[in-house]
Amino acid sequence: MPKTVTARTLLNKRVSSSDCILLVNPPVEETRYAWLRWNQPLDLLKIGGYLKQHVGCDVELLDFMKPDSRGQVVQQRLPGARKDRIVGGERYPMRRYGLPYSELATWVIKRKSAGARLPTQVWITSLCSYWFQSVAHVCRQARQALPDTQIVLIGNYAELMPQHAAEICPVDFIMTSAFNVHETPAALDLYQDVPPPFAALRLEPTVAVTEVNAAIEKGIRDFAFFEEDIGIGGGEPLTEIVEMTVQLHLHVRFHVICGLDPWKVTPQLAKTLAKKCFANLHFEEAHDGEQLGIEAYRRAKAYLSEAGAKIPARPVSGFVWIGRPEENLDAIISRSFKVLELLGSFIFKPFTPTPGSAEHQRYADYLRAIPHQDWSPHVFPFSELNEISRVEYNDLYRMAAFLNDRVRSEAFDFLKGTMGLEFLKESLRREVWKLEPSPLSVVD
Amino acid sequence: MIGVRLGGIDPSILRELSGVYKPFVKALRELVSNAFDADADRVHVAIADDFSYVTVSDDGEGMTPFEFRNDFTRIGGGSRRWLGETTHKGRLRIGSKGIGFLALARYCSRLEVESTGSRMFQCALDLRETPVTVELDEVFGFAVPELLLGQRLRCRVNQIGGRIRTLSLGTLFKIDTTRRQVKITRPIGAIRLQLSFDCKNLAFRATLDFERLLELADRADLDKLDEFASIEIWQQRKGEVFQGTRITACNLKSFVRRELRTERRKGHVRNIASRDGLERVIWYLSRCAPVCYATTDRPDAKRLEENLTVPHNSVLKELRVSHGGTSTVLERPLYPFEPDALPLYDDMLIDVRIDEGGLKVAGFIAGYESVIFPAEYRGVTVRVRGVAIGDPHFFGAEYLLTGASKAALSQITGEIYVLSGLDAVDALNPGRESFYEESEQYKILRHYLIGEGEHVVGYLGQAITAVLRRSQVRSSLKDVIGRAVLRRRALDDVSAAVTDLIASGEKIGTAIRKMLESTSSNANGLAHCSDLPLSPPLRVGGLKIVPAKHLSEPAEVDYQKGEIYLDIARPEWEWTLVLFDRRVQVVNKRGGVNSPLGELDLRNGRLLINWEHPIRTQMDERGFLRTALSWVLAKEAANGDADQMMELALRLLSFRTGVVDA
Repeated sequence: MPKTVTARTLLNKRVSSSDCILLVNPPVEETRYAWLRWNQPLDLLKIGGYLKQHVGCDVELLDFMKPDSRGQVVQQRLPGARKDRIVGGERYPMRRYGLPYSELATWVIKRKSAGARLPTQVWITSLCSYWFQSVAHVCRQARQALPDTQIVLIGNYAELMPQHAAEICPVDFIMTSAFNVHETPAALDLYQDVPPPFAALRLEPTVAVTEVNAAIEKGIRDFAFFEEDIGIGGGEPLTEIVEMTVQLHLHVRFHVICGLDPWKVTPQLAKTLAKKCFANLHFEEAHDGEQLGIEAYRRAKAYLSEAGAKIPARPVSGFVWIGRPEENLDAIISRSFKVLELLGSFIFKPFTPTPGSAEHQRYADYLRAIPHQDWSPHVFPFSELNEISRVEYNDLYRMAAFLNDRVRSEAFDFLKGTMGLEFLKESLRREVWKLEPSPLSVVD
Repeated sequence: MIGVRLGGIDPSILRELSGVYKPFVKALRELVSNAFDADADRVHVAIADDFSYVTVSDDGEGMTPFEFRNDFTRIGGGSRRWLGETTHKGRLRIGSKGIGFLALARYCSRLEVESTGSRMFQCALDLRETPVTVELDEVFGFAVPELLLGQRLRCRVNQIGGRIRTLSLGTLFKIDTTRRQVKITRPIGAIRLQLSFDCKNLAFRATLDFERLLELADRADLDKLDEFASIEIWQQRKGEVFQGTRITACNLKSFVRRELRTERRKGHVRNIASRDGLERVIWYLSRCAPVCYATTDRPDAKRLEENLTVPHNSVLKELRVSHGGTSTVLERPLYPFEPDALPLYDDMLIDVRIDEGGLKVAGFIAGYESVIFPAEYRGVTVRVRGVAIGDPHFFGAEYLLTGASKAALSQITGEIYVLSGLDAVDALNPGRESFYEESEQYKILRHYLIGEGEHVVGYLGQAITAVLRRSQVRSSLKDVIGRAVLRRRALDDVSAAVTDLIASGEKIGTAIRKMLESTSSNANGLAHCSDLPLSPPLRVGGLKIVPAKHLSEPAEVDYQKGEIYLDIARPEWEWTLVLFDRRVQVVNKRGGVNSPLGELDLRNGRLLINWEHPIRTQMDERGFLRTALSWVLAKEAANGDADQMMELALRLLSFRTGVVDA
């Protein structure tokens, strides 16, 4: 059985400057991965930076999810019996996003033939706990290819579900606490000659500025914030990062892909977000009690307009939760239309509880019966609880694609402000909803 | 302009002869060859922007109007016959048959020839009876202007067999420049009339109306044949510095223009035939015209480059093709010199040297590991006097060979240069497209290249053998490594299936997990059976296998030493099987038909497989391994529960990691 260790124990007792550590970002087996292009193992890059800087050991990176030269991440339909996953009677086509598992063996062969040093430890990260199967396969590959190497499982899965991981993953150590490496710049140089298409940032101004500088030197121009709250500190950290980096290159572009709470948009933050260097803004769903926080959206939009941002010319959209426990279709559709009307575009954000979180605790009995891999938000674990079938959820996705497309193409503009629009909305709500299951796959 | 008479041949034969130069580029090559024979150093082929005409100009020694009439436009009037084998610069003449001027007849409606030649024209006529009037137009073939006749014509008349050595002008004979006649006025018996015409600083412009010629050919109207050619002669003025010959094919036929305008085929193209029309013309011209070889930076082609024999004085200094503001100096391309050519290996490069029966040949034939692209390089090009004879070919070997040997031809290129022996008149068909097979020297050439009888031997045979040998070694090696990879894949499939079952959290996964925690041994009879080593063979494709470690490729072949270095440190040669957190060694046994399929010995970390079990004959190695491993593991994990064993075995067997995960 693997031993569980804390980050501190691992660093203090198990790692020395004579080690060579291979950091591995495993592939993902999923039915859908809409935000694939924004995948980057920021935690691993920061750990890599920390190990190099503070421990002084050799560090290598094998990122299975690394985009190719065209910015595309390899994906392949799973073979044989794993081709589809059937959840609640609904068949979900399964894909592996990222390089094949054999890439680890290939990496080892290349190292050996180049006469390079083989790793003494392999640290495998894990992003979402319900993606544990691909993590287990990478652990097995590591065992096979590097029989004398210690394997350490890190990341969210290891931290949130160490017991489960110990039973599933053939590793030597499971790290149960996170590294405190926020103040360490991500080691983008681990990608060697071919840098990724973008660099992920956190709202740590000093660190982020260093990271942007290093990334620009490598030819990276796009930056995405991996932060739960973009408006933290009244938006000052964000403003500071932008002001200190925007002049570094003419084509620097920032992408706010998560963590932008409409309630937290202040005139000051709006001034920063209205800058041309922001390529897109995605608002999190705002609430006002049980209702959608319409006022928050309106206010954020007004601040942005005052600051000079042209909406909807600027790519702006709002997330709408889908798959939350005890939700109903009318509420989802209503929220979707409202966000669509307010921001011009909405994106469904499928929900699943974080293991150990309040939602998990509240629905622990219900969730206990669900195999953990089926906690994936893309297969809607609360479908049975909500009495909304997975077919209906899929139709909602289709509706979103349809509506976003119509609004973007301004097909409804001639009805703007008329009762006709209301009738159309109502009719869409009904007709779209009653569509027969489509043979087409869902595009979100 | 004055009409020129081209007598002595039926126009329908002219029509037939005009068809021997196909396609257009071969006709263009003829004009370049003429320029070479005229001792030109530089030749310029200018193609009109709209492809309506093409002009070939050179800096050679040009033609006098008389040479134009007697040599250029005369069928069978090849300069070699009159002027000897070599040019003034010592070049071996390319032309011989005297049909070159017809080369473009089918491709344009008119040929305009401009040239200067400062040589003296001389001719002699023996006349049996006098008095007589000699029509100079008939002697020259065209009407020389009166003024030029007066200034440049010299005439000498001798009595044959009589006492008068030289007849005096004015008394016994007269030159009437107006009527263009020489008149012998007295009856003095047989005479010899010697005419000389000084062509110094004389230029001419002639037009050959091919449309008219071919029209006449239809009507077979011999009398009107002179209507198809006309000539204008003038004395060059000071400052008129044109030297050499300029030939313009005017009003190119629509099919030629269409061909030249053809666009490159869409998408990735590999063959020359798929490139645009102009590119094709340039490529073919560079392959068949007498130009020097291209150079290369490729290290593998250096030896070839150094050994390429190009006889002295056998190429032009420059052949330039221009169109639409761009200009290209042509060099002869060779496949081994191409930047993206396949690697050239020494054992596949055959030097060709023949010296027998007056035939002297040098060159090379090269085989490659894969099919050669562009396809136009496949085959052996034969050059006589710098010019390619037809397209690359295999001397009929393609009709003798079958199967793999025939397929190997697509991996062979070559170039041989006839240094001496194969003369154009005796050995080459009109149009220089092929050899007369009855030529003795061609027979020698063919004998050396492909041998006699039904088997291809000779130099080409050597190249085919080299290609096949590599192909056989590669194929055998691929088979050996492929089998090992498939066996490894079977182990990986089972290993991944075990992980997947445990990760599923299902009962059968728990059963496997529990079984793997055990340290007991269930090995009985198989443990005592002899091992079956599934290690690499000692030899592959006749080459010795040398075990190696950590190569950049699974195997490296040294054909010179006859050794294959096989990387045995690769996973495909390992027999370890990771079962979740345990590692076992798969041991292959010769257990015979009565022993079990396999046994698990977790105490010693071994899994024994009986390769002589009857089920082995029913499936391939991968299938057998997967089956054996799955059943052994299922049996051990189920611990006597038949249903669970069946379920487990099926789940293990049905699991696939996918081909790319091997």
